[in-house]
Amino acid sequence: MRDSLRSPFLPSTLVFLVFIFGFTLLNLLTPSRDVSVTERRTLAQRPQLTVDSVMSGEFASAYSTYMQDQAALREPLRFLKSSVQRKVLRNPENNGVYVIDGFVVDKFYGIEERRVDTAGRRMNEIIADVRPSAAYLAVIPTKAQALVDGALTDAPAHGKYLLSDQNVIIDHLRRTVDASYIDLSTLADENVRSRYYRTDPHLTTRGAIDAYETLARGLNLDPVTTVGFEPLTDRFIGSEYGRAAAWSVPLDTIELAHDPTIDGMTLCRQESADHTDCSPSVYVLPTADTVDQYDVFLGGLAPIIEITNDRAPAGTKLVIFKDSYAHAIAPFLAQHYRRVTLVDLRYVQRAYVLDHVDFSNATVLFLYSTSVINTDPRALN
Amino acid sequence: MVFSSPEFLFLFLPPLLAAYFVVPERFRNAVLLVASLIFYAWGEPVYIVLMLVSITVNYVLALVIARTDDPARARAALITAIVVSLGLLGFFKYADLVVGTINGLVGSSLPAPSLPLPIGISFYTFQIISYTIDVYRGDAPVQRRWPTLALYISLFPQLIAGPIVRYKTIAEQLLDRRTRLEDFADGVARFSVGLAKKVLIANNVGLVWSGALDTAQPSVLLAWVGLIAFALQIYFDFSGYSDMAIGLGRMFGFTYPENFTHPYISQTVTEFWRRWHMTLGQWFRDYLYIPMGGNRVPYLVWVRNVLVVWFLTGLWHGAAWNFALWGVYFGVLMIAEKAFLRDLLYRAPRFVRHAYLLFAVLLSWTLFELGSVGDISRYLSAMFGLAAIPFANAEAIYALRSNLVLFTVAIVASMPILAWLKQRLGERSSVRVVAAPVLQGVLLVVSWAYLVDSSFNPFLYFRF
Repeated sequence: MRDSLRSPFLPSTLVFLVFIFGFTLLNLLTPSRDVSVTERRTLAQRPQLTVDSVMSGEFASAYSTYMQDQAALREPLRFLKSSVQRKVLRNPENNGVYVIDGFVVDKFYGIEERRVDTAGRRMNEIIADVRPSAAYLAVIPTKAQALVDGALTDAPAHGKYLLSDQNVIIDHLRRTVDASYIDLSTLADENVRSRYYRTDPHLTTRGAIDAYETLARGLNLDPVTTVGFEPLTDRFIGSEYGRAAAWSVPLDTIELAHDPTIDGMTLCRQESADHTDCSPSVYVLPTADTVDQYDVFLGGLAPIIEITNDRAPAGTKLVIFKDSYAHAIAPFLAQHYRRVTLVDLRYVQRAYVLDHVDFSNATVLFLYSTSVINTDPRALN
Repeated sequence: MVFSSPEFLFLFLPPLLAAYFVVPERFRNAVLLVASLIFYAWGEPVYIVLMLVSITVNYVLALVIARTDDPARARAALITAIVVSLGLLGFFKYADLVVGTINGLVGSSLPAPSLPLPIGISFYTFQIISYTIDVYRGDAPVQRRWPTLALYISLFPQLIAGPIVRYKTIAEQLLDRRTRLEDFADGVARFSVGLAKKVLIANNVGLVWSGALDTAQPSVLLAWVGLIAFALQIYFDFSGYSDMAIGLGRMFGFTYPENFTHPYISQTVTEFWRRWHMTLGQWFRDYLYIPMGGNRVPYLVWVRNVLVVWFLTGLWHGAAWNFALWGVYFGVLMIAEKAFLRDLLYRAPRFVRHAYLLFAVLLSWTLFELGSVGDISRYLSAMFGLAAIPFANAEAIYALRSNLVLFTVAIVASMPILAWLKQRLGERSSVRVVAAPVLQGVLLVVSWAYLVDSSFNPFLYFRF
């Protein structure tokens, strides 16, 4: 025995046995979970054992995924991996995101020129089809542009991060789309930290207000100053949090802006041709099982969303072709219009929109993020 | 089932270890056989029949060989065993290649069977052929108990990706073996290192290689970085698997032959193949090259022998002509080394020999990994600046910079530095007594953390 203690044999064996038997026991004792809150996805459940699934090998593959998803200490292990990746291997990237001083930044790399060009052409087609009283275009850069511009970190980004300059997308659309361009590129300037969530790609309420003020001036409107803010949650887990899996990233706070005009707005969400949900507020408070709390803004994605503001002059209309970035901004713009219609062409056919949305005397605004334009071929279907 | 999967680590291995060491010794082979069949059937429930057929045919024919006094009858039994074993391998692995090649040559449109490749068929076919040939040659005793022969072939550590263990190597261990604490601890350490090689190094450098292949912004530098990453990936992937197999074998009392001994420190291609996938090289040497006459034949016959052996070595790796080309490429280099290159190289400084070997092996990986002549030529053009691309760009610098530590670790780990350190410290040095278990625990937990956060990464050699 004394001999064993002077050799690494016994401790090595014990370490191994503790590892495999310990985790086996923990896996058995850990109850199955339905969702991973930080990754915002459902977790695989124990697959059904059938002769067919076994013979086809599907059972084996599904069981492997199940064990991986339901692993005991899954969250600490994911965070440990991220730390090893960034601190030991000195690779700034984990699951396609960077962590910079508690701020998660999606690696925005590669300009899809054809996709951007197609998006621009489709905007022009829409403008030609609906003949709006005025057409505007505004493009929201992602947080990553702040790294490109050197606004997010003092360290030189060259070589350390792999990023594309989103101005290429913005400039192309500005040049090719037959609409007045409203420049939102300053969103990614040195105040970027207050304008974007740390754990999510979207604009915070403060960032949305900054975007709104610029948009309002571009639309020849006088921006209204918002008077009150109410925190909805200080434990908002954005979609980038789980990918970063970094202990150094604090959770976000979602604030809701309130004033009598915003509080008086009503919301109707057209989920399909024959189903519309209406609610008395532009904020749809999340239920306990809501994975994405950003959905509080206008209730999340839907094909067509309509905000009605009875305090605005009758007949004033704004139609916004948009992605989810517009959801936090739209209530502020709605202060100036009797009706704001938000159209998401990823979920509704253009022909349906042309037939069912009232464009007469409407102002049209294309409000997209560089991210959706560059990555989603259905952005303007 | 693969070793770096949760079901192996936490569903298969713990109960197996418990059962194996709890049951009386006489039942241990039965436990291992049942476990090995479950291990294989987990992902391949249908093809287990194929393996059992192959085992049974060779079992019967080896008995015929052992019992007959008639050399012609023994020879016929041997030929039948080889034809059946290679026939199964040929049908399941090479039918598509044959049909495709015929269609391409004569313009026919014969339908390809498109059968999924049974996992490990290349490995277990070679093992079972070695058994029957060894019995025929009188190099190994015939195994009269089917379960023991089945255990030799199906033993899960080496079943699906080697090392190719010859029957005579473990014939005695199949019948009588002990697992001492020292063996178990050695096995555990070897397994932990193998798991880390696969999960922490191979999978991560593999991302650099796939990034270089998928890039929309190619550059000369990125092409080199990508290919170096692949060279490291395939080494750590395969040698990691071999380490895990050897380690698991040790835990259950088997001593398997080494499969890799730092091949990238070689100075010639001939030396490289003495260090890379050694058990495959030994198999081809003992069962093909030497029976063909080896080097005791006229020069041109020897050249033919070398080219045939390397053509088949290439084809063993995959049912595609690029693999055959890859094999022949090494055959040609070995002929050149024997003819003049080796002498020339040994007149040059040592670093020139290393540079030559690394360059030759790096180029070979393009033949190995890139399926078509077009892809190979495009990649080589990028590497040598023959394509209209910049020397370096942001993507290349990023790939290099963000993976610098990983590359450094991988390059250091591909050299015999750890083995040297181990030797220097001695088995019972206090540093080693403390550091080895701690390091091992860290490697296991971090590897598991990477597995939890990753999608499935199958071993490269499972394709063979």
